Amino acid sequence: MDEAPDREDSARALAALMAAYQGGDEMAFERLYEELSGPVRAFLHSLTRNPVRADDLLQETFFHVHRARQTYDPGRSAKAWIYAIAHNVFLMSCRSEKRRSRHEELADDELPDVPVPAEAESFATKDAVRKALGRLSVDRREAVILHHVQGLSFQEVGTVLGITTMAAKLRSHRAMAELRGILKEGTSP
Amino acid sequence: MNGAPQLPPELRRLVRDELRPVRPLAPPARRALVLLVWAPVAVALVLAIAPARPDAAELGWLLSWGVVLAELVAGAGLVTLALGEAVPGRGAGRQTGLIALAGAVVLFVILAVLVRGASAGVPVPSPLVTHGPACLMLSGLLGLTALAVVAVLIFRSAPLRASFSGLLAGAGTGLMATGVFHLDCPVTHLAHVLVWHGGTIALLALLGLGFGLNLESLERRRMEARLAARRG
Repeated sequence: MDEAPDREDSARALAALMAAYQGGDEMAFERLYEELSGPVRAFLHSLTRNPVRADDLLQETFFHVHRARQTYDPGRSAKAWIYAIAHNVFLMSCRSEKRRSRHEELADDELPDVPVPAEAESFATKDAVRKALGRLSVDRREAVILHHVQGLSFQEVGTVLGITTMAAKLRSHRAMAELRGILKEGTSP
Repeated sequence: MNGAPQLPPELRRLVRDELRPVRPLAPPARRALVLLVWAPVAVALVLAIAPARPDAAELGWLLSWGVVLAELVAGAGLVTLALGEAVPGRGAGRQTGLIALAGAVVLFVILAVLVRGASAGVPVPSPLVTHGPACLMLSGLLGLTALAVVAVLIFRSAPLRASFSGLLAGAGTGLMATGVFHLDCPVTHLAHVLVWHGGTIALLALLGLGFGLNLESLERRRMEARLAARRG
């Protein structure tokens, strides 16, 4: 029930940190890193499904956060701005590695320990959800992770992915429906 | 605290070495206003180099200056989208950008048809060839100056995905240049306008796209070098 005010407080705190960082405060950058490196790494991990690559891309993301810090608009969501950079860094690395397959699948034992949406946990085990998530396309997985795991609003998800709020909502709902379908498939005899 | 990854020493060093106060970039629409300076200079230049088109009176204000204004405004709109696209999380999205591009093309064609309907212009022996290369070169050069300004603005955003931004910027500045050049070119034959004036827009769009792709490729190579250095 108190989630919305909490989210607003956290957004305000992040925006204040970003403003201080833009003003030249090194501690603000460190606090920002402390606050967001974990969730951003989890997001990158869920996309790359490779912990080493996720760590590399996390560094790249914050490198670009530093380089492009003047592009942050203090009136907007700092979280969405940083996730948008992480999303772009991921796409750039995909192009770089020339393996931008949108439906690539890993063997089950390669699936990383990525966070899973709480909603999905109610209809399957955590492990089953994790495996099902791995079968979603990157586009859909991103939308699910950003909204259901990282707690971004649909407006923020749209900002990160460069789509409208409505499209973000639609993509996330379709991804959850697909996830349910995969899980149902897995549990049916 | 919560098991968050440690700040890597090289990143800490980079931030410490380079950290200085920065002013947040103005919104894309406000940055696009820089072209308000470019437009009158371009108009003055075109009118100084060549006399105004002889059929201006026949066209009336709406189909002479009105067309210039419409194409300048539509071009500036594309440039605004381009500048937004260059900033993380500020882009209107590919779909909106493509719709805007298509809208600009439709506007350009409609205006060309309207102008042709109002004035037969100066008759030329071969509309597809006569004056064409000169129009393309002059309006292309004009557009290139605007594209250079917008490219600097895009570059300042340190974009990671600059290709679409470059495409929109090129098309926008091309449309603006064609609009300004409308004051000079007296040929209204559709074959001439669509091929050569439209060609200016297409050429600048391609140049913008090339600029963006080069920027992306440069970023990618730098990232690969940093990753390689980190992995030893």
